[in-house]
Amino acid sequence: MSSPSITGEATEEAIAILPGVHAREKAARRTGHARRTPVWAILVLLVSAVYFLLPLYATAAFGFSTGKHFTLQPLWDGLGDDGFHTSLWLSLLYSVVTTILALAVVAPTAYLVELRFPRLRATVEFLTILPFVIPPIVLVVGLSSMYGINSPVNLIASSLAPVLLIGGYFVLTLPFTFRAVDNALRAVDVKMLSEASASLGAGPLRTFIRVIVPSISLGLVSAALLAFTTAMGEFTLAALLGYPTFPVYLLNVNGFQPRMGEALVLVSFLITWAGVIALAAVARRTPGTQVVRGGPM
Amino acid sequence: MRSLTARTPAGAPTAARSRGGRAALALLPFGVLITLFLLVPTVSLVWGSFHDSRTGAFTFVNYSYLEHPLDLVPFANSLELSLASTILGGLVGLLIAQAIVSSRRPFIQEIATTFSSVAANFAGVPLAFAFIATLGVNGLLTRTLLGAGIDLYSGGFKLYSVLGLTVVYAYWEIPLMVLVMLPPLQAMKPAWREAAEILGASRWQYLRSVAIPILMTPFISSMLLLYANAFGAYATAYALTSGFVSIVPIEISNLINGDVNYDPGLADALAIGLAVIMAVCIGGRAILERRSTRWLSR
Amino acid sequence: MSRLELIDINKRFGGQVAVSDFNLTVEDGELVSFLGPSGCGKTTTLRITAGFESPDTGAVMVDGVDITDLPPNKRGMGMVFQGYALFPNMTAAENVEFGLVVRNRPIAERRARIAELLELFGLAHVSTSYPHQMSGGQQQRVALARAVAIEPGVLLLDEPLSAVDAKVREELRTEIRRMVTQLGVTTILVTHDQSEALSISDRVVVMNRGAIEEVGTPAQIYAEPRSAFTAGFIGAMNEIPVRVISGALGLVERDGRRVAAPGAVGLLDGDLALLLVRPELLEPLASSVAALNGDLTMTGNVEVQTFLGATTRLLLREVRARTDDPMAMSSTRRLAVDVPSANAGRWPAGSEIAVRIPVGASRVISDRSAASRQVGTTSSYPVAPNA
Repeated sequence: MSSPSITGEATEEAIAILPGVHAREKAARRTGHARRTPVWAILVLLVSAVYFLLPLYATAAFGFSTGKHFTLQPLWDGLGDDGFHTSLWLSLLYSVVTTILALAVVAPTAYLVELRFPRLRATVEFLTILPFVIPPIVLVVGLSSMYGINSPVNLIASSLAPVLLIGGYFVLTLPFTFRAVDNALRAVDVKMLSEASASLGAGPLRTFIRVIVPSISLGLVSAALLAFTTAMGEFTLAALLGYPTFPVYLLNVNGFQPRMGEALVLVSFLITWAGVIALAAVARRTPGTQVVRGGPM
Repeated sequence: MRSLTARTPAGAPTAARSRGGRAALALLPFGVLITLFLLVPTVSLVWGSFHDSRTGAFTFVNYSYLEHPLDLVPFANSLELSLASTILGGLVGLLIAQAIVSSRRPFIQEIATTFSSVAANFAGVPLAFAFIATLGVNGLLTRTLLGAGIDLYSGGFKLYSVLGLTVVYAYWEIPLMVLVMLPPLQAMKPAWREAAEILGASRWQYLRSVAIPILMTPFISSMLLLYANAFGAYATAYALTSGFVSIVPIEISNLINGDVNYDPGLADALAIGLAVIMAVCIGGRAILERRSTRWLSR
Repeated sequence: MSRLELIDINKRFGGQVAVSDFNLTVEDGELVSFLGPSGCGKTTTLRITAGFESPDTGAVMVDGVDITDLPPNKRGMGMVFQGYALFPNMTAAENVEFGLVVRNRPIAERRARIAELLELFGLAHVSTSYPHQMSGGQQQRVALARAVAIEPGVLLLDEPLSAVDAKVREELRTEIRRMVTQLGVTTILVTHDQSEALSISDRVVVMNRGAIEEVGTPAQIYAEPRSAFTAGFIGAMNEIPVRVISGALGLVERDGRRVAAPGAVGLLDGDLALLLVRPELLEPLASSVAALNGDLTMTGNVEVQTFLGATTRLLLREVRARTDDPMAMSSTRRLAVDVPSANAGRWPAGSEIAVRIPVGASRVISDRSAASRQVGTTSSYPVAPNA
């Protein structure tokens, strides 16, 4: 199961509630160094860094070797493998389409609910929480029985096959994409912006594109990140519905060619990592990413 | 004194109403997608769970497992796995989150958040194989420990087991906990601690009377999230064990994909059972969230 | 023996000086305010007194005992934080009770004390309410009650009213004064609001850039500021450039006129100086009236009238008679004159009036103290009073 990450909300000042603050102050008396990082915190962070890097290192150690010495040959084998190309390409395609669909549908929906249909909010929020209650393994049973091979509406055999997976991915990522966009919308005074824009003569579509979208760009980026990485790493739906995406390929290849498989596991990890880093950097550079607190300062 | 020209009001009532109609249209794509890919499958699930897979007749037999749920091996295993990984992931995650907050450096907080996002997304097939390379029979750590005199496997450890899964699950439960607990921890006002201190409280008294009561709600809420995630996880478990560990998600997949065991009705019923467990967790979480934001956002 | 002494306190954060050479003695039962703009070090000094920061040098003494090394939870001080810092998981009563619970006071005693305090602060009806259910004013009172419940030797208030609505602020301010007097507790109040400091303090410590500018009673600070900074920071102040003719005799000269200014005694002959006059002390005259003996006058056009409530401030732009005066090279002189609003109609914008400057009662400071001024607050363009 790929578990989408939850983005945190806006933060306030940090505090130490566990040992150290005052002892440190006393120890650092007359030197003015009351604000250094406590030792235990550094230790914990170092140990956890090691813990998290260990499996990656082990993967590299296994994948980039012949059993005797270091070599990148399994990596080249993997990158050159046809199965790798087709499956990665398929995954990228599905992920990009899912992301675009998610943004294109969720952003206007969240905007309209916030601005014009506040009474629908409870319903919409319930619907967006629902996929959370229905993990991929449950959803796939429903999808399979409705649209799968043994069902009346056999989408998989038809030319509409991609629609099934993309629809499934849209639903899976919905709780996170909606929440990211909605948080961003609620942090900005959408009502005020829209009214200001309207009073200056802009139509609703222009208001949305030129005014709202830029001011929630951080939320949109988060939503895109979540949708993309989730779709790229999603296994359950793809495997049980029979789509040869990258994670499915990864599973198979590790059964037959372990070293190449492990090398490609690292490639998969790097893709995820690149996605997070790239989008985080974009988020920082996009103007207006400051989450504005509504109300008096 | 110059007077400002009055602006014409934006839109007469009739224009507003037609805009309302057009706006509702913009909600249509959402509605269609939700219906086709969420509501319809859900209905199909419920419907299927009440019908015999072979005869098609209406029946409750698929739900017979509810009489003695824990007698069902998959359920017992899933419960054990989820509980263990949640406790492990929750406590370690809390520790790390507090370390991040205590560091007081925005730089560390940013890096840690990014890192946690990536780690939490690493779950699934790649994670399983990364752990095979680490703790498998020929894994790096296994061999290193052997060199140090510790033989994991003869001591009964098996990666392809509930215990092994617990360790693997912890790998993404921990960052998830960090991500979810960071906001509440950061929302703890320094002034609360100082107020307690100036009133004479020791560090422990502050923790007991103020910090823990305040953080208990978000903590439990986060644990519920972890539990739900662990219970419903399929990919990691399947990739790690090729389906040979009996937990609920894997049982469900066997029932819809297996040739011998093909029983969609039972799969539906189990899936509903799983969904109910998720619903209880998420519902509990929603209730707790509301309470904690009341205290932590003032 | 004085209740609280702060001796030679210095504090830096990294490269920044936060507090420098702070010395203060506070007597038992006094209410002393630390007043100054943001970043002047008032909060840091308060936090050093409380024990949340350690001074780089210096000592904090209470009743003659050096408590500089004591942690905050052993100092027996009470503190009210900006933003109240009420424990959100406790009711009002439980918040107030906290200090007593920590000290293991018996239940009966705690109950009695809480009831007494809640009554004193008018909080009996919200005793079982949680902070998020209370108004700002109520929360502030709970914070105060909580701080005094432990019968502190020193009470520290860190901008207690800054988070409160303006209307409630005045009420609360008076209540604080009343409570402090009634309980006789030595209090330090940190604020950037001068009306707050001036209205309820026994003494005011004016701070600027980490150091004490001056210390005095509210009346002294207002009417007799010793530095240009204080003069500019407190209320509105006109500064009229004059030249010192004789420091011994207190003779100054402006626009060719020489007058006696006792405030100039002690200044150096030939120096440039500033005559400090509050807007309410300037009187408009009919422009045809010649300067009376021993007084300076200024003639100007009313540029703008600013309605301030009971008074209206006339902003005058000076009309100069002589143009070869070297001081005429400086920027156009403006003057603020406060008149009763009822009379303001007599001097509408555009009209020319003369004002009499009561030199005899004015302070004179050397213009070389310009270095200690903050940019913008003490220019010859008097600023509106701080809100």
